[in-house]
Amino acid sequence: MSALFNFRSLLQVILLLICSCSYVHGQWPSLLDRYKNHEVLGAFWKMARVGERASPYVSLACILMAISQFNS
Amino acid sequence: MVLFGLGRLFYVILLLINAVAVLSEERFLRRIGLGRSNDETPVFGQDQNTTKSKVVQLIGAVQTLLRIPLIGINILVIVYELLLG
Repeated sequence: MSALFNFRSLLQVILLLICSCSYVHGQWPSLLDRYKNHEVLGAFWKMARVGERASPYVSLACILMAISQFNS
Repeated sequence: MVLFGLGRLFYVILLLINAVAVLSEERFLRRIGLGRSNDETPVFGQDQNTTKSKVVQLIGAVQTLLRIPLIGINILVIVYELLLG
């Protein structure tokens, strides 16, 4: 569980989740659209939407995370 | 990670590939002129050799080829990080 308490690992996990959710939504849209209004599972749909709409910023964040991972 | 340097390198490569693969075609790439349909229509079967068309082809290839494997790899890395840190 230590990824939840280390801020950088948490950030990395969230970034990877956003990326994979947007891939899943691009590939099989109904899988995530089904839970659009679900309280818990709706978060994945929201992350997919973030990954679609804000893709340049997500990509920039990925590159910055890679650089910081490389330097540490 | 077991192999110290290679584990970090793996993360770096994974993040960089993700950075290329998330760029959405119709919302972002087409607007800045790097979309695949925006490419000047090449003559039949002839490869263009400009840098821009190479970049367009690279982004398109990464997106079509690597998105589905990346789903699995991302989820594996997420589970690994959550369980073992």
